[in-house]
Amino acid sequence: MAVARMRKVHIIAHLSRKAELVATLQEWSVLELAVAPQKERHQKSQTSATVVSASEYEALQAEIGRSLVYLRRFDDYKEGLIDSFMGLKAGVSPELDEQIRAGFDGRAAVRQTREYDKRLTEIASERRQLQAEQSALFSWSSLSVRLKAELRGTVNISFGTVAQKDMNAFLQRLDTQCQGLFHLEQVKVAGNKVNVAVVYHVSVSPAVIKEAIFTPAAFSTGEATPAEALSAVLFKLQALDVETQAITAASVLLVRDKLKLQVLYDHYGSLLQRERAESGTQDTRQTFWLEGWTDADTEARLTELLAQRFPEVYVRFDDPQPNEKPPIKLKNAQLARPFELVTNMYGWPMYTEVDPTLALAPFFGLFFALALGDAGYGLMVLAACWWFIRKYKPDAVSSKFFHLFIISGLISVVVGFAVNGFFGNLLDYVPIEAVQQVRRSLVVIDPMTNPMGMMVFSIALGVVHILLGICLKAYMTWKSGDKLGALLDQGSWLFLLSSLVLLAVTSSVPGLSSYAGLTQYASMLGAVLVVITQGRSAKGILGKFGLGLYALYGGVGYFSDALSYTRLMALGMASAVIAMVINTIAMMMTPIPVVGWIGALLLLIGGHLFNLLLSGLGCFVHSARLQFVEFFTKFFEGGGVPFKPFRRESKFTVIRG
Amino acid sequence: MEWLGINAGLGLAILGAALAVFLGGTGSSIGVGIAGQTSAGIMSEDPEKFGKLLLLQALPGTQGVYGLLIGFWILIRLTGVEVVTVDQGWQLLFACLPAAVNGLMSGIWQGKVSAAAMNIIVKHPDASGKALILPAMVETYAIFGLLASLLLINRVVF
Repeated sequence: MAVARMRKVHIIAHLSRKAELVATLQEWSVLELAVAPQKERHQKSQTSATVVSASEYEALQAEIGRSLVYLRRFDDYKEGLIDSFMGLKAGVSPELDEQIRAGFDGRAAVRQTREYDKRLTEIASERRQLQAEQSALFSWSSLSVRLKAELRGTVNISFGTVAQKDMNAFLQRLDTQCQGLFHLEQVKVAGNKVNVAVVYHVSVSPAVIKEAIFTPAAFSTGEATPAEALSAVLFKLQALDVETQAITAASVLLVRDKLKLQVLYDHYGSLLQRERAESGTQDTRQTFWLEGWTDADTEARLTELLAQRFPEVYVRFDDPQPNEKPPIKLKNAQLARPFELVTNMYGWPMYTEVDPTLALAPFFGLFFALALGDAGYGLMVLAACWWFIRKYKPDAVSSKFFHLFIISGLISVVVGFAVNGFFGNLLDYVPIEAVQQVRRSLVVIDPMTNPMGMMVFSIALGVVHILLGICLKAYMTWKSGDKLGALLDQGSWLFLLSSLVLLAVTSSVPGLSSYAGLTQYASMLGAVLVVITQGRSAKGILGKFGLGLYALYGGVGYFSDALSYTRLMALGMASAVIAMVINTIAMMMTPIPVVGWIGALLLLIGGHLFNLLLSGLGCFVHSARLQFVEFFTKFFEGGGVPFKPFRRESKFTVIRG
Repeated sequence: MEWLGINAGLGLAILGAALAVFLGGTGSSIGVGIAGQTSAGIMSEDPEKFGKLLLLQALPGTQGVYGLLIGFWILIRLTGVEVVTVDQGWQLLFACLPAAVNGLMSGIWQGKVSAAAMNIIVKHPDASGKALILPAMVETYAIFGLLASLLLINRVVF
């Protein structure tokens, strides 16, 4: 239960060793680099060179990224729901990584995809243009005139569209304008529009024809007839199709290089990181000074590694200064480590704070189990985790997630039997007396028959949780040196709240009623203590008294906090009742001949899976909420920045030995 | 109560169950609908967010389940009961209301919060866990409604 002690690392060495040192540190992944503030940074002679190569890596990486995006269009392998959720990366052995970087011509592949991509874009725009031409020509295709060649110098020809209703007006107007020297050919009637070709004497100005009601056609066919032009367009479209197919086929082949491109992408990414790290040091003409953070446990190993590899380098470890904010690394026993995920969902503790992980771990597991309330579902959670870990071999961070659910699932199995839940009431349908006896003997509280008992248990668990939170606050206050504060602030509340709990117990349990009076007085004393102590920051007797009373009123918050834990019982009952309904309906199906049992089985599988998914989501979210809202508010602030060791950050691949 | 007929008690009880199912379901439909529209919008830009968005969209769906549960709870309580008196009918009807009305309102609002929380997933994918907690704050009241209804229905004496 701790925030790891951090040490500030200073490394000073000759500039010639910088690149190698940075690369080695990246490989070791034990040190978080602290970038020196800009104003303190020494003006460097080789700044411009570094910047150039850094931006070069960035450009290369971006190019490869674009190629990968392009290739994804042709990739049969579609990222599944689980993949996208887990952000899983491809595992690559160091040898393969090395081999790809040495033997694969990334630039050629990138160039190829860029050409294909460009050509496909061009084809798309050409196709659009041709299609527009096609649809324009289509309605003129019955006109067998060579649009340009037929003109003999004495007549002009115009093509266009006239609305059906304007046709008479148009004819009349033509007649007057051209004085009869025209011929009008109706080519096609489409809807309420008519395509017309007007042949008129050259003495008539074309402007006269192109009057408002006449819309000129938007195409040019050159020397051909519209039908000929149309087939030429279709031919071009076909050629484009063939080309597209060829490019697609070639691109599909390129998809085989996906992993190689991904390796290169990550490689340039890591080179870029190194360059940035190198430019973040403070340099003199001959030396550089690199600062970073590491945890105290790693100090000895880092010293040793550095001494072996870089014997001439100066290393120094310091404790963090009061004005410094070291990055936070959590250090927990193996069983509690998966629950760091829950803590980190909320945030990271400050360096001076207590890490709440160990304290929340058992409660989180228990809350999850109670809210799920089913041994069968617990087993399903276990099976799912086992299958995921086997199939996806997740890295350290993702496997935390599965371990969290394995622990919670195990607790769910135990708790599930204790609250009489195994796929709802599925065991009730087993007509074997021995099974029923075992089932009954395991039950501690059955929420179906004793909901009040379950509710009281939930609240009791909550009270323990809340009191633990206050104790942790007291511990932190005590440790920070304010011992009086710990006694007066948390002490008075602890006294009052535990007296109230005892009062509730003694007045409701018949055998203990003789103590009820005592606990009553203790509660009153507690209330007085709170009023006396909690107003001490105010000025004047009245002020102190008023503030103390107000603090006592704030105690109402503890009651609503405790009641909030009733959700555990409600969620547990919700999943249990739905499971029960699924079982009931499934059993109703069994009398149907032949398909009855199959249908029942399918319904049981599907129904329970659905219930598990929906309830499981709720269980996780609400167990987390009880930590954040009811527990953390008693002692935990957070706001720390996580420890991020300098290492190979990758998007696609993980190097696994 | 003669205008309701002889079996008015049973009718009132069923009305309660129906209200719980229908109001809870309505709340969830609206909530899941709101969240679904937002997630569809986000997915049109970034289809890979599907998994996380689906979780957020599913969150306001629980009210409908709670409503259904109360409906079944009434059904379970009524199994084997010969006659439901008008008094008992009214009691069951009123006992259903916390889950029903809380489900309606919290379903809608949880959907709105879910939709808003989806922005977190877009802008800070690492903080998806936090995004799940905000809608759950609204759901608390649906759970309390469910809890009250469950306990109240249990207290009706036959």
